[in-house]
Amino acid sequence: MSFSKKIAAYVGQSIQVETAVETFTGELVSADDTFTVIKRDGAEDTRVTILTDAISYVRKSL
Amino acid sequence: MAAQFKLEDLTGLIEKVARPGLLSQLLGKDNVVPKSIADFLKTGSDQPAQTASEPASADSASGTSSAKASSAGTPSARSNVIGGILGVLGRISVVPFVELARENIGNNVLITTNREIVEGIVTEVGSGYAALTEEGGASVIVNFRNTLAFQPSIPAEVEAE
Repeated sequence: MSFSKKIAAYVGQSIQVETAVETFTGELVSADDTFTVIKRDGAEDTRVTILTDAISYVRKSL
Repeated sequence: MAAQFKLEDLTGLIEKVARPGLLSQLLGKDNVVPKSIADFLKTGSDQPAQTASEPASADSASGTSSAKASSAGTPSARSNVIGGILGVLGRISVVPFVELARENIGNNVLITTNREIVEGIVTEVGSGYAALTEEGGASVIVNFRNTLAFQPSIPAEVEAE
């Protein structure tokens, strides 16, 4: 299984996406080999598209 | 003005570069591999294609690569092809981390990423990632593309001895 497919298992759940320069926290909307999209917490209908290759790691808290 | 490409064009370009035939030439066996890559990168530089693709060698594999690079067109298109190849090679370079992680499934490890150091027990290893469970129970999926170092973590009591 690839990194993006592993992340995609969390669609609809709240996750923390870490990149080298910023942390994005919110609900995972989609993830594929190119882009990972999350809806940020506290921002209505604000979606952030992140280059999947630029993700350092993804954290899913209990 | 910088050249602009549609996403479909880039995807097609990557697929073209990454198709098995060319990959097997680049990453195959024998001494053809480094020469093929070197010839291709040389042809993709700012030098004119004719100069770079002169018949320095009768090797068929390098000839194929040069021909492909020459057909790539403008310097920007060639640099995109080179970028695609380097991207493919970059993906392959994460394999050592995968093997290291597989050897440590069930062990506590420290993984240094370009963000920070992540510590946890390795629960799963896939192609290009490792899933860890942190001390607090959170799940972490580490992308090996942005991993700098990997080390098994020595328990504190063992380290104190």
